[in-house]
Amino acid sequence: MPLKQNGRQAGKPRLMVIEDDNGIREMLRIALSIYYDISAFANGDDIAALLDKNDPDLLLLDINLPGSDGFRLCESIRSRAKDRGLPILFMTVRRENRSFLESLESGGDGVITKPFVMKELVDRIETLLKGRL
Amino acid sequence: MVEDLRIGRLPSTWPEWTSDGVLSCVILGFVLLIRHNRIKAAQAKALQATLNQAIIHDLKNPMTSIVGCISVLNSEPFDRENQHRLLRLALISCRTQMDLLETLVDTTRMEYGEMTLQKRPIPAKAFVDSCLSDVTGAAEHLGIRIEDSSARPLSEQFVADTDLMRRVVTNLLQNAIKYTPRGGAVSLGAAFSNGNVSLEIHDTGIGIPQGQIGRLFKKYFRVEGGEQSTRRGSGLGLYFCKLVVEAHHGSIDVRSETGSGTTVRILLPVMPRSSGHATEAKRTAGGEAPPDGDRG
Repeated sequence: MPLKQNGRQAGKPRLMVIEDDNGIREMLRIALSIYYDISAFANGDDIAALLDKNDPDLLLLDINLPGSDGFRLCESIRSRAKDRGLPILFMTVRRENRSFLESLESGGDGVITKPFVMKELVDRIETLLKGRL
Repeated sequence: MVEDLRIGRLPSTWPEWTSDGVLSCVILGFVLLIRHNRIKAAQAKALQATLNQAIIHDLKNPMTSIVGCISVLNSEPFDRENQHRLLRLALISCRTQMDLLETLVDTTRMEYGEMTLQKRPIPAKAFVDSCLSDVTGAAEHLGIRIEDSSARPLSEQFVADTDLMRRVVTNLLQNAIKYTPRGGAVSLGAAFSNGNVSLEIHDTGIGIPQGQIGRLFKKYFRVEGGEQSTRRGSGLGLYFCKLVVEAHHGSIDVRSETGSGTTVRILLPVMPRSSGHATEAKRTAGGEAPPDGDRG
């Protein structure tokens, strides 16, 4: 079962989604809202401002994004002392080991391959959130 | 005789120099030709891999949305409104996927000259309404207005393959929606003059860099640079539109300004010159000749 609170304050954990595909973004926004407070964006332009404003407990990040791709965004997030411990879960359509290795190298905490069933995604999110508590 | 066969003997007369020179040139030519063909083959292989990746990406993204919606509806008690929203998202994604598959199949059929146009009179008003209604759900979901920009009430008809032309216009509208931010507008309007019907699709989106407009309708072309650089696409949608329009003896052109929006105009004869066969399209749209034999 999803956690009902995170380590910092009571209430639903906050999840930020960055996904440029409108259909997937809307699906995640609706489906995950049962468990989490969701903020969803089509790109990661000005990621620092987005993180400061939304203060997420976990970031769900698409790898193929307009502008800066997911790996570059992840590197820039990790360069901020404040967000060094933020769990980042990548989403990708690729089933290659390269994506997995690149995600770790860029500072990500894991990769989930599209398409995925929602339980699989929620389980992965919960594992990462527990590690943060 | 023995001396003549010695390896490493230098030619001693000018005819020998000439024949050896010609032979060397022929060998060098063969080597260069083989190298050129190898490079071409490697480039073709790399392009094919990129295209396969793009098509897989385009098919998997709607599948992600479909699987996500259905799996969460199957396991969680959503209220009626969210059930409806998830089902609608799944349906939109099914349609996106079906459209891509149809485009893949029909582009190949048109290139191979195996698609005959089913032309019939189409009432312009009904055509515009029907194309707009195809995309209204998706646009509303994204906070984009959909408008009929026809200057006056339409009573005329034009002759075309209804299904193909509707797919062309819907494809262009979907593209416009894709590149228009929330709060923007996408419109479709029809106008008749000089024996032609003009169908204009306009958006208030991010526009297309000037240097890339001329290549938009090339097969496998995808807009590069700026915000659109990593938006994937098979690069077949606009190429398919051009094939269909040219099979109707029409033309398609684009005006765009980065940051201000894009207008795509299709110009078709109201009454086509012949019954039309899709083979005509491949000669004009830069389609590649099909390989011999396999027409599966």
